Order: sequence, then C-alpha cells, then structure tokens
Amino acid sequence: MNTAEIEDPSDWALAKNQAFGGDLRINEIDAEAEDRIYRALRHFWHPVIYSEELTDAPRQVWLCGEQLVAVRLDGEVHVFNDMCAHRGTALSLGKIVVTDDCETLQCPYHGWRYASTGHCVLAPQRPDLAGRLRARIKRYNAIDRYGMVWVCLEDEPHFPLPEFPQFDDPSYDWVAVPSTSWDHTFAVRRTENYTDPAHLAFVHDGYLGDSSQPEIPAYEVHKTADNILQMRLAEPCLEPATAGKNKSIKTDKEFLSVMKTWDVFMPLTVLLRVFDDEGNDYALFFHPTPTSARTLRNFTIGARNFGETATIFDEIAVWNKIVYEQDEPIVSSQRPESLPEDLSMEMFLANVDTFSLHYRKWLLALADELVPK
Amino acid sequence: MTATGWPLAKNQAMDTTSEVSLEGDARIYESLRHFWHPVMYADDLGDGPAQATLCEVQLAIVRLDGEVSAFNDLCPHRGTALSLGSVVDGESCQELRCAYHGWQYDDGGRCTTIPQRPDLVDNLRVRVQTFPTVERYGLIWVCLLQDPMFPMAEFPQYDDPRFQHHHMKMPDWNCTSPRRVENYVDLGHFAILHDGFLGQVNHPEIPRHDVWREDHILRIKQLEPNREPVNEKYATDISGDEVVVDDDGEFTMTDQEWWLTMPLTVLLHQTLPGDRHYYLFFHATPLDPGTVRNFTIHARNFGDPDKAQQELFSFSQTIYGQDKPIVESQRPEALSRDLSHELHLQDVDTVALQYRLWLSELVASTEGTAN
Repeated sequence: MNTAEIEDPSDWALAKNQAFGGDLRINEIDAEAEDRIYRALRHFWHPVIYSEELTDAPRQVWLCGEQLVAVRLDGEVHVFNDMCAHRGTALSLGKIVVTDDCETLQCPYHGWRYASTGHCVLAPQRPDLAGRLRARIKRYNAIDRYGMVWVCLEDEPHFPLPEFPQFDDPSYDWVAVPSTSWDHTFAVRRTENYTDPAHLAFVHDGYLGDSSQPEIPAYEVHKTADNILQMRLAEPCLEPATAGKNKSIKTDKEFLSVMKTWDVFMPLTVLLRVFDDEGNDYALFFHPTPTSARTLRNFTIGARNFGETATIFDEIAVWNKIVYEQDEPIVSSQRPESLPEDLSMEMFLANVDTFSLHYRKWLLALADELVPK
Repeated sequence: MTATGWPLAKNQAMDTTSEVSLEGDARIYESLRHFWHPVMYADDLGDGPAQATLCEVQLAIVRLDGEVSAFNDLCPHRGTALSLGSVVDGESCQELRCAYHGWQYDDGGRCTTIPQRPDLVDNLRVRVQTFPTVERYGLIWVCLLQDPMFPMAEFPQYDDPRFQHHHMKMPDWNCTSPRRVENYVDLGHFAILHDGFLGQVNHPEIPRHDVWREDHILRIKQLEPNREPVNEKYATDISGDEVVVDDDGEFTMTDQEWWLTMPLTVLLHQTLPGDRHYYLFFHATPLDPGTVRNFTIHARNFGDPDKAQQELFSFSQTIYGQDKPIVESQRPEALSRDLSHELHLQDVDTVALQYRLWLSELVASTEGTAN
C-alpha cells in the first residue's frame, strides 16, 4: 500500500490506478472485486421506496439488477419478483383488488390474482381451478421501517436492520429527503463519500466546511458492534452557522462548534449525528441502494430535536438535496468505478483516510465470506 | 488474380471478415500511442481544465502559467477526474487542484499541496502521470509515450501572414483512423462520390501521380492537373478565362499534392489558376478503436476573409457528409495488413498500397520498441 509515511526512494510514487499502459487496464483490475462485492450486497437489507410513496397501487422498484414490485396488501408491505407467472407481464402495471375479503395483486394482462404469499388465487379464465393452482411468484423479505420499505434478496439477511433510535423518539421531528438516482456510481463509493470528512471543505465549501481550513480534526475509528464501523471526532469541528440546516439554531456566531459521529451499519447504511453542547441533536439516516452495479438510489431520513416542524422540509430535505447535487459529479467521475480491492491502487493518508481504509477492509472480508472466490 | 474467372477478394468471405480484422486492427491501434495527436482546439480551452480522450485514455488538459499540460485525468488519491477541478495559484506557479479534496499538482504532475496533511507533502511523493504536450497550429497535441517516434507534422502556411486560416469543428466518425486517412488521400473517389464538387463522374480516370517516401512523410504529387468543378471554396474569387466550360459544366485545372506525415496527418496543397494556393491540414485522432475526431484547418492566400469561414465550412461540411457514411460502412473496419484481403488496382490504388505497407512497417517497429 502507498501510505503517506513511507518515503519512496525511487522518484515520485505513482499510485497503481494511474498505470494504464501495457497490459494493465484500469477497468480490468477491478472487474472481479467489483463483481464479488456487488453480489455480496444481495445478503443485506436495502430500502427500495419510501413508505409514504407506496399507497393504493403497486410500484416498480429495482434492487441489485432485479426488477421488483412493491405493494401494500391489507396494510402490510410485500415485495415480489415483478413478473406474472402466466405470461411474464410486469405486475407493477396491475392493481390491488379484493378477493375473498383479502387484498390481492391483479395482473393487468389476463387478470390473474396473487395473494400476499405470492400464490395465484384466481385465473379468471378458469375460475374452477381456484384453490388448486400451483402458480406462484417469488416473494422477498420485506419490512416497513423508518419510513422506508426494506428488502433483502436472500432468505437469511446477513445482518439485522440498522438501528435509528431518533426515528422513534417523540422529541425528534423527521423528514424524508426526496430520493434521487445516480446513474454512474457504485453504491459503496457513495457510502465512502458520505463518511469522508476531508472533502467537506472543498466540495461543500461554505455549506459544510470552509476551504481556508482544510485540515480535518482528529478522529477515532472503532468497530462498536458486529455490524457497525464507527467514526467519531475526538474534538469538535466548525460548521458554517449560516448553513440552511442550522437556520433553526439561534446564534450570533459565524461558525458553530459541533461534534460528529458516523455509524456505518455494514455494508451501506450511515447514521450521521451532529450535536453541540447546547443539546441540539441532528441525525441523518442514509442508505444508497444499489439498483444495479453502476447505479444507486439515495434514501435519507433527517431527524432533529430542535426547530419547528413547519420548517423541517426546507431546512433539512431541500438542504440535503443541494449537498447531494454537489457530490454527484465528483463521485460519478471516480475511476475505477467501484472501490478497488487492491488497496495499493489508491493512496491513503494516515489520520485522514483511516476510516476509508477500515471500511474497505471490512467490505472485502464480507465479500470473502459471502461470495467466496 | 486467378485464372478461373473473376477474383474474389478475401474480405468477401463473409464468415471470416470480422475475425480477420481483429488482430491487425488491435496492433495498428496500439502503435498509434507512439505518435503526436491533437486532442482539442486550443480556443476551446478556457481558464479551467477540460477533458479530452486519446486512445481511450481520459486526459485533463489545462493551461498553467500560459503553458498547456496534459494529465492523466485521475487523482491518485481517490480516482476523481482532475478535469472537474480548478486552476489555483500555488507557491511559485499555477497548479491544478482536485475538486474532491483539494490536492494540488504542478505542471510536472507533482503533488504540492495536501490540505488535510500539509506536513506530509515533502515526503509523500505523489505524482499524476503527465504526457508530452505541445500547442501548435491552434491545436493541443499530446503523445501518450515519452518519446514520440516522429516529429509533429509541418504546416508552415499556418504562420505565413499571406494566408488566412480557419479551424473547423466537425462531428466524430465511427471508423478507424487509418481508414479515415486512406479516404483523405484517395484519388479515385473524387469523380464518383464527390461528383460536381471535387471531380466529374464523366472523367473518372485519375491523373498520373508519383508516390514516394521523404523522411517520415509519404509524398503524393500529381504529374498533371485534374478537373475540379468550380465550387464554394473559391466561387467568390475565380473568374474569366480561369474557368473552363464544356459539356460537363464549369471547372478549373488544379494541381494537387499531399504530405502524409505518418501515420495520421495530411496536408493537401492545391494550386489553382492565378497563383492561388489552398492548403488543407487534417489529422484523424483516434478516441478509441472505432471513433475518430476530425481536426481540420484550412489556409488560403485568396478570397474575402470575411466570407472564408462560411465558404470553407459549408463546402467541407458537404464533402465530409458525402464521405462519412461510406467510410463508416467499410469492412473490415481496420485497414487489413494482409493486402490480399482487398483488391488493388495498379496506378489507381498505389497510394493506399504504399500507405498500408508503411503502416505495417511502423507497427512492426513500434512493437519492437514498445515499453
């Protein structure tokens, strides 16, 4: 690995990711690692749609290249493979109808109906077969939690759902940041970006950092649970008081002194907390869902124990959408597109990139465990 | 030629066409890394960096203290595109700053500033790969290897005050670069494909011409003038007895010669009546194995300068438009190194034969020296 502290006696060090010549092609190097990390993601929970977006009609959603249909039947969320067993039609084009006092999902093509178990309960062309049909559609683990519908593509999720205690605490308000799709980014690059304290001064200059103060405060990285990698500042940092998200914090100072912690629920969920010694507490619960190997959808719930409910959408949801728009072109440009498995492909600064180093190592350990070579 | 009827060129054997081209295609393409190529027009480069592509290598082109540099478009820290960054003042010179974490690089690609750990910069020997870069003829030229095999093509009329010159931005073509260049120096297609523009269909014979090597240049020179229809590029200026009229319309007698600086630059010189000279400078830059960017500069010592851009642009647009679908349709896509794959006519396809032979020799010599 190229580390900051080791001096290379030969000349300037060139990170391996720059060696494009000869037989070493950037995109070949990461292909295998990317594939394994990507396939490992099937073993975890991912949000696919906000709960409030799933009402009285089925909705098409994507996860790890799978086309799924999310639907609420008798109040419970269910997620199926988005394909009728009869003629392969997308069930997300269908509708919810009542069959024998239960809500069922009806295919738009020939009207076949599916119960919440995925079993076909009626083929209208042969009603005599009802109850004896063996047709069924594949059903996935699904849970409605923290204002989002979560899905795991494997029967046994490797880790439990992440924890977001502020969501259930009555002293906090919460708001969903409108979800956006990024079309050129592997989801783990996005989580690395979300937990990167060093880019705030540049990409979010005047928003979350200040380009004249690029040094980052000391921080610690710990594994705090079987599934949590935590980064915690060892000392407070400064955040512009004028930032939209800080509008409801009354102060006459230019900068607020805040503490920050990031809990990464492996492999992708981030709970970022920002709090001061006045008791103001702000939490961002974030997950970049891999809709495919190269695309993601951003899901975020913002919660805070200060300010008015009436202003939370403007101050938290709209604000974070702006911040995300600042990140997107930068993260989309990164090569290789996925995180390289070979850590010597990029440069790591001691005390700056420590978190990213630990994050990648853990990610690779999960890939080794879940998708053996 | 076979004795048993009409010959069938090997490229007509449908089942092998694509196979045949693959290896030769890849080898010619690889060899192009040894030469200079323009990657953008200089006037498209503003105060900040710009992205360009050459042989699938993504480049960040940037002007630092007036001098143009080409960087591998990738920050060694987190692989971000440096072309999204900005130009900032460093301690002693302008530097390129990465947009993500603010690492700064000087014109040699050396990292001079690591904002998060300023203490480390002297022992952290970070470097971005840079490439030989030259600004000339209003173009920014890059070679992907440190030692270009041939010097850059000459175009003395560009700096001659008697000549007006005009840059022309045209769409990319979906073909290989050598196919594009072969088309540019193909004497046989003027009368057919460009009937009424560069030749006349009733006069398909091509003028006698010499083809020879001069240093790293393939020289082509007509030994007799050809009939060029009166066209837009000099329509506003030509008159009287300079124009000949017969049953096939108005035309002039034109002398033509070409300097093909191997492997991909062409300079065409036309001598028109009345000591009028027209030069066309062209380079087919390979963006990837199947995509060409057309860099074109016109120069002429006649005509109304105010009308030149319009006259030359609209004329070239017509000509390029006629050639593009034809060249993009050629199979195999690459020039075949096995000359028996296509049919060659004596005294007609001499230029193409000579060009391909030389290209083959260059491939062999670059493979001997490749690093």
